[in-house]
Amino acid sequence: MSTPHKRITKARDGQEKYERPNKNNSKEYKKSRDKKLKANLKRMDREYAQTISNAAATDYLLPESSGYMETEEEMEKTFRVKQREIVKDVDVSTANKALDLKLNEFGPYYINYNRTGTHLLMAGRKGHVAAMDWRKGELRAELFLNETCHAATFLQNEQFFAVAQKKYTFIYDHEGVELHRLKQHVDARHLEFLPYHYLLATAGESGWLKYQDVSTGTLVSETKTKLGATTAMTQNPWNAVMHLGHSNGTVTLWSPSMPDPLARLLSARGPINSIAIDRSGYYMATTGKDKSLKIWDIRNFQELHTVENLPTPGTNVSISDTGVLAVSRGPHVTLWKDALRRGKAARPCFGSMGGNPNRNTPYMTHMFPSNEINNMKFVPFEDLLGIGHEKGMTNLIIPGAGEANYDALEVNPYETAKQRQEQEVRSLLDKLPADTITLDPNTLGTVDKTASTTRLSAKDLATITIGAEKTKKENMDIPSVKVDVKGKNSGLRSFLRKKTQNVVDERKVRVQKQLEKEKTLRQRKTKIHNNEISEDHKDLVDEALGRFS
Amino acid sequence: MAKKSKSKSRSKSSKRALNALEIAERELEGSASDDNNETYNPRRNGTVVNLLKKSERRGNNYSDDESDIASDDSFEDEELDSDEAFGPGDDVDLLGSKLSQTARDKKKLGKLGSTDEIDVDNLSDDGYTSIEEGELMSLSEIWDMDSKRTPAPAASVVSKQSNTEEESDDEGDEIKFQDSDIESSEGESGSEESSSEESDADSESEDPFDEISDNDEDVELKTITSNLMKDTAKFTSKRLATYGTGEENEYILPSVQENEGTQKLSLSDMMNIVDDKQITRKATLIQGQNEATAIPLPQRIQQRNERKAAYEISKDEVNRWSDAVKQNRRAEHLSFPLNQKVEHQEASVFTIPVNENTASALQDKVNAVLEESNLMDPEKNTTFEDLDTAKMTPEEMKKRTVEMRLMRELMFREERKARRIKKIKSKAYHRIKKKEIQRNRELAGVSDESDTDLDIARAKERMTLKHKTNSKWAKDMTKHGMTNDAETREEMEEMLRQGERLKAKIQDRNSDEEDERKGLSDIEAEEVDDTKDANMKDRLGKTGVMNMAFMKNAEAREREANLQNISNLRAFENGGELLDSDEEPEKEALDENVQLNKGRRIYAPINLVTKKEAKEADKILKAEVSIDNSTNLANRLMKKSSKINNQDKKSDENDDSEGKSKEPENPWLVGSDDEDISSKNIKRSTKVSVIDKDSSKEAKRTQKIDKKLAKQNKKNSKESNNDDGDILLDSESGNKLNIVDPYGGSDEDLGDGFAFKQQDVIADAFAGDNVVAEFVNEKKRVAEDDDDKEEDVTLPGWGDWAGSGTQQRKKRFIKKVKGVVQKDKRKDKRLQNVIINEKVNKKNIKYQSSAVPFPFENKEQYERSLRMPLGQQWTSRKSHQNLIKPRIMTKPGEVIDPLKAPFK
Repeated sequence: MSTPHKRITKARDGQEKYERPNKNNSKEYKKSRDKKLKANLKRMDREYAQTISNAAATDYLLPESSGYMETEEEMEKTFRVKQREIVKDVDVSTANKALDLKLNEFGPYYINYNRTGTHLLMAGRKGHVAAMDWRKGELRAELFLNETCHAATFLQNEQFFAVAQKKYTFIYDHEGVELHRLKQHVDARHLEFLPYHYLLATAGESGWLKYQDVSTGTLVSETKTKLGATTAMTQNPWNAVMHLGHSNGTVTLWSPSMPDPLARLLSARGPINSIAIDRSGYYMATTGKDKSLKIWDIRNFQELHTVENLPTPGTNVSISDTGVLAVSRGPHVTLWKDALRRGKAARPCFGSMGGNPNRNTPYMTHMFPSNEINNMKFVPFEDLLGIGHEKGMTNLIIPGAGEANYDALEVNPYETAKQRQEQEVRSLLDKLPADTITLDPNTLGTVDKTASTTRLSAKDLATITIGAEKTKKENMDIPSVKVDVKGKNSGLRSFLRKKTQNVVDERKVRVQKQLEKEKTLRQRKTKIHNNEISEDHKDLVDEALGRFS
Repeated sequence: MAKKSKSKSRSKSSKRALNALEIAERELEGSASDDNNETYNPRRNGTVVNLLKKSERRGNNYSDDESDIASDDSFEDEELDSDEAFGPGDDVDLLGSKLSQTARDKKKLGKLGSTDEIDVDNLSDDGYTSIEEGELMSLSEIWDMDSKRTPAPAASVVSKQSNTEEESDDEGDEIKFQDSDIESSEGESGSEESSSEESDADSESEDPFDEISDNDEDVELKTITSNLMKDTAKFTSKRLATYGTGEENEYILPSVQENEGTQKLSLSDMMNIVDDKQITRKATLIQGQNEATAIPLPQRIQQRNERKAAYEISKDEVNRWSDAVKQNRRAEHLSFPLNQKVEHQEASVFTIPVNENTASALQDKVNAVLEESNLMDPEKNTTFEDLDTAKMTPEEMKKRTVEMRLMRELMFREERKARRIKKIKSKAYHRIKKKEIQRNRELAGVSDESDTDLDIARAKERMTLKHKTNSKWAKDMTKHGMTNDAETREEMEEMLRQGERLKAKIQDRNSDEEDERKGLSDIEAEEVDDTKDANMKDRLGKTGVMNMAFMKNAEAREREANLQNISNLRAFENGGELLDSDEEPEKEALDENVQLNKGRRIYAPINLVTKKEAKEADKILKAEVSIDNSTNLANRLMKKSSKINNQDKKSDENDDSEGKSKEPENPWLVGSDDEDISSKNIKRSTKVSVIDKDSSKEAKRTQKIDKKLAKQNKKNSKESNNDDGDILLDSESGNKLNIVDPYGGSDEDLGDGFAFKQQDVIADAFAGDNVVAEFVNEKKRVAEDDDDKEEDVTLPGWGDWAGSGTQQRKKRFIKKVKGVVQKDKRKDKRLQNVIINEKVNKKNIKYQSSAVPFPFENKEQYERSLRMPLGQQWTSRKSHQNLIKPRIMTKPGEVIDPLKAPFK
């Protein structure tokens, strides 16, 4: 173990990647008179630098490099390369992964992969649901539900999956045994599972967004979107905010802890067809029925690119781990490489654009003749794009689409059953409460925005607390003693009258005391008035004993 | 003062003075611890009376026996006197006479002392003792006289003393006497003062006394007595001190004369008599200090002081720990027990024992080689006996050292001389020196040695070509790319330079020949040389690389090219014009077509284009040249400006052509191409975008118009600022006009029309839902809802008078309701198509800190501390372990010893 005092003088290569963003870059924070605090801050910075350096040092443990398909000549275009040619040229194992399942009967298929990318879940509209280990070709569960199935998703791992059926949503286990019927999730058309919160979110025809905690079985929240049927839904993997598309062209962002959407974006002039968000949570792509494709930078809610006139409306959009954007329209799939960058050159275009190098021409295209794409998902850690269509499902090979290096502590595509179990327990222990979902998760743990930005000194605190004490002590919070008024009209009496009879609190006691005092003063006054006692009369005994009262 | 008195007494009554001095000196000797004032004092310890007695005695007879009798008498007298002491009047007279006597005696004594001191000293011992008796008497007399003021106890003591002379040997009495002694000592000191004062008075008034003394002694006496009276009055009580002395017998108490030095009765003196050891031991405590011990401080204060001292000590003790404690407090991690012992791996059955003697085979080999090659340090191994110096005889050794010393000295001198000479900068000196050397050399018969040497070197250089790049080393270097290395390159260059230098000498000799050639002729001459070389080669032989066909060809080609170059240059020199080489590149291009690039075929049109370009470039060049050549400045300017204009025109044309070329493109693509512009417009209104889609060119034009308008705006704004709004409107309206403009649409091609139709379809499809407007309205509504609101809570008629003729109250009650966020401060204020919810998420608040937590002083510091997550998922294992390392680490059950002192 290295000594913590070791100074890091030189930054490692690629260290910026591991750098943590800091909102406040000013050195003001260091200005303090407290030597101990200063030393602590210094130590913190040192530790931070050390940690970043260490993280950067692990960079060489990620030997896999991702690369895209490249052409030898300028005139050659990558999007002209056919899947057939690719399959012919790649190695056998990769070629085997280019799965193509012909299921003509129960079409169109909705497909979903689990987080590790090992298992495939298919839900045919006409009730055929199948879960399989697609790499091995092992079918794990196959169901014929005889009911319309709209969407399906794996839960925390491949052991469970939920299917949005005609009316209710059901949860099945890996063998296809029905475990739960979620009768509160009616008419769900879209399912999303938030892995860190163990929440199953559903939305659909009803216009309700419902969150179900699958670890405890409670319905965490249900919100009415008030925007009619939900046409599209996806989750932001960075902050677990749900993005819902609506028929009025808006995309709304939801958190289970807020009854109103966190933000509303007008992304199309017709209904939203599909939403996709990249892994880092920076960018969102939407397609609408108005033939538009929009790419947003959702960190600051600015439109990056707008493609207004796709040849036909884009029905699906998806973004891979490496940022490859896939858009499907009818039978066509088109992919762009660098569409998530700022600038005109990054805007996705169709065709070769006359060989203009400053245009983002498609990376790849594919067409399913006389077919229609229902949905598509990039396979995690694979250079594959899974497509569910009317006649089954197909994996397209998209070089450079998958993340090359996986973090086995986080998601391990090669995990054993034991590892999976342990991971499940660990993730349950690390489960985040539903109300931690915010637009900016970095605000968690920080100082409240409305609070003072500096620590209150003891003096300030004292003035605050003493001020309250003082008002109490001086009976500022109760009516004042008035000798002149008659007994019935005393403010104190009326105050007591207003109070609940049987509740005796500190204030009431004080009021009673004051009332007694008032009474004696009044009596004294009348006595003086009647010349029973002189004005300067002092009851010595009373005075002497007064101290005990 | 003593001196003074001496001199005065010499003149008047020297004998007395002598006496006085004698006594004074005696006193001086006697008193060990006397101040200056006291040394001048002739009478001490109540010797006022002493003197009187003494003088009397001396005046009568200088014998001890007599004095004894006298003392006895005086004792008796004293008794008598004391009895009569309380008699009032006549005593004064008696005293006065006596005092006058003393004064006289004093002078006598002084004189005597001055004549021979030794004698006096000798005398003094005896004299002193004799004086004692007298002294006692006289003191008592005076004391008796002044008994009015004497304290009773003193009197009692005296009386006791006098009465119990014989039986006063018991200890109790002694102790009593001790007390009295203390008193007496004080009294003595007091008397000292008195006597000194007296003597002062004496000395001051001596002159008048001396003068007057003969005339009327009575007056003098009176004054003296009066003085004495005064003084003694003050200190009479203390005179008692000397009382203890009396007649010598074994029971008498030790008195002043016995320990003459201090004149104090010390306890030890008395203790010698005491047999009881216990008492002596007790008494020794007091022995050291004669003073009485101070009163002890109150216990409370004493304890406080002790505590203080103890605290100081303990503080020091504790402070020594502070460093260690501080270090531990500041340490990020502490593992207990501190300073854990390092556990070394101990040898066991399984560990391989390391034998010290066994050296590896390699080590042995190396040693052997070293020994063989005599590289082992011999000095190290040889003993002292083997050294050369050890075998020398001492004489030889001496001689050798002397020689060595001499040599060293000479060398040192030479060195110093050389340094001095080196410092001389005078050229003249060096010239002379050089000449001298030359002369010396000539005399020695050695002439021009260097020249021949140089010649040899040159010859060698020419023969060997050592300093050329074709040496083996140089070749290696170049081959391995070592020339890129700065060092080797430097070496190489140095080498080449060396060769150059060596060769330069040769060229120097030929400089005369070379001077003839100049400029171009140089090249020609080289050519000539080349031909010569060729001839040489021909002569050399017909084998070798240089004679191969391709080499020859290449050489021939080169030569030809050179010749052509030369001819060209000649022509240029003569005509001042470059040959027009237009034809050549063409030829070359063709050549390329044919020969060089077999893989790539270049078609004529491109060639033509390039040619065109080249021509144009040439034209420009020529024009520039002509401009440069034209002498008139104005002319130049004219030409240049025209040229620029031309260029502009050309560029315009190009632009136009580009625009034209773009026209026949795919309309769909065009549409998407120009979406940026259209999307900009979209932001304004839907209609704009729709129309823009159809006509790319029109959009361009509108943009152009906009631009121009903007320019105009700028100009206008310079002239008048308030027109801005109108102009903006103008531009907008222009835009709109353009949109509606019918001829824009009619101008378009069929393709554009197609696109327009498609857009139309979409517009038709979504005609019903005015999505954008709705969204904008929604945004406005949300902004207003969240904004601060003012509520009018006035109740009509409340607090007003009713009836006719009453005025309505103008005062209104307005309640301000604070909203979520003000309109201007909304996050989505500048964002298009975005509504951000600014309401506070109440469920999230619990995950936030309501105040800056303790050690931090502000928000930034706290949030900076959150920057780095500790979790395994976000950090490397190493840093994770570092970050979660506890501050204190210890094993359960481990005994943690208290901190050990690190400073002992």
